[in-house]
Amino acid sequence: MRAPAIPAKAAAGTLRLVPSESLALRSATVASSWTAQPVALGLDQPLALLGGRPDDVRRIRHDLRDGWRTAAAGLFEEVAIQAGRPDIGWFRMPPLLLSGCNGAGRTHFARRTAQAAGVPHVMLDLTGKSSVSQSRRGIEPMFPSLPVIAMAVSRCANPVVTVLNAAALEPRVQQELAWMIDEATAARCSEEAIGGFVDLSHVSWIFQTKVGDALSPFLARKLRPVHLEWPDTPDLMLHLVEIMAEAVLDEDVAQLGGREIAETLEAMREAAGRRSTAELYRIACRMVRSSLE
Amino acid sequence: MTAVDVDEVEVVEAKDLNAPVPIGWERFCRLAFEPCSGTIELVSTATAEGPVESVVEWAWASGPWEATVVFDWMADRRDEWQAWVRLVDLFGHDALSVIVVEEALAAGRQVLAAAEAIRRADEERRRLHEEVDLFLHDERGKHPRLSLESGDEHKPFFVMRFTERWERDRVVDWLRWQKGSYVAFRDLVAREGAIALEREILSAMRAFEAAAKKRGIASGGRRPLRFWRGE
Repeated sequence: MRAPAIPAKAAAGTLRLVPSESLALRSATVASSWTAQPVALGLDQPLALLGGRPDDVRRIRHDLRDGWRTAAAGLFEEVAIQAGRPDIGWFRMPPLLLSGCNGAGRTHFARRTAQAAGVPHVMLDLTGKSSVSQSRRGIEPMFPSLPVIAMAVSRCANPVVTVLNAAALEPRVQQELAWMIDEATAARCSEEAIGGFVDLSHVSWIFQTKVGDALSPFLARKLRPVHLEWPDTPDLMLHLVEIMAEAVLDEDVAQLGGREIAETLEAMREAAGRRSTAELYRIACRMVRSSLE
Repeated sequence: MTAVDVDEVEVVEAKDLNAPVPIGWERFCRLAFEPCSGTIELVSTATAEGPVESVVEWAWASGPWEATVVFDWMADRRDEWQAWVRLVDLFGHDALSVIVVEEALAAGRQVLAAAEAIRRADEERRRLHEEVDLFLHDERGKHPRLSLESGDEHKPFFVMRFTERWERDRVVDWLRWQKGSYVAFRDLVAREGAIALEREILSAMRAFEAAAKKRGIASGGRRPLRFWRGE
């Protein structure tokens, strides 16, 4: 997994990327073995709790609260206050139920949130391709679950995990998921693949659905609803700028001239009528790549 | 302009220029313009954290025409200021300069071109307005008639109908050589109506025909001025 890059206020005409591999202020041990054997993947060693440095907190405030989704501004203010508190000092959002129609930018929201906080972002698709499967006995682990793998690879205890298609699971399985995100039980989740308990209480969960009432009530009660809509005309430009920032970070472009930025935004604006954030992201990536050739 | 109008304009301008636009959580943005130096600044102000702090997010300077055009263009797009500040936050001021300045100047040049086109159209219309032409109409089943029409209009301002064609041609024998008076005829129609002009034409024609007979330059028959070629 590539370390997430963080934008800083740039010099004229360039986007300066600052890697977030700097010293972590906090750490947590997220796994304990059922036996005397060490836990696989080095998970019994302390992992960093990211997102609490002053720069991280400033970005959470400015990137998320000030400059972006005003619907979630109050949420991000809470998160920034918590991340900036000396006794906490790391990034964690309450579990979100992120609803919105296709193209509204739910995944973009999740990825930009993680980028701003400087924490890894993981997609957990529950349509059958994931590490979690359904059977009569309940959830059967085949490999360590994706959040656990993500924590192990990034050496970060508090990634943002986006859960897709949870609504397709049976209510009983959704209840299992609810225990994974519940503060009371998340700290002690069984993970047979690593032979121990895993502490998922530092994870920021985002459950994506098209409509707000798609999940079972038991799971939905534990999530804070945030609804995204395709931006109106005045906010469209803001949306395009954020999508382009996501693309620039993903393409790992260190410098992009003003002309290229203007042309990319223009191409995105022309395609904005189709109201698809994913398509605009692809256009931005293509334009950014072509500007480097 | 009355004193009341002046007051109204001042109130509107003051509101537009000084009212900051919210661009986030207790963060505002305003546009500043220094006409002497031609400098435009996009300034953000944060009020949430400690003392009020103003930051010049973007600045651009140029000659008076360019600066005024760019400032007016930006001032008209207050709902985009938040995105512009965000663009500068993420990508630096060059990107905004390209987007804002180029678009504003292109729009400014377009406005200039449109104004020039309007000016030329007005000029052409004024020129055509000074051109008044005489038209003869011989349509089957209708009385013969003549009309006077301005070059910038599609309808004649004066129509004179006759029972017989030779009557119309008798008037035309005189009227066709009065082109220099056509504009005055139009003024007369505007002032006193078409009947007044009709009377004026007929009396002047008859007076001239009488004078022509005296001078011996008139021809015989119903159209005494048939072979007259003006003076």
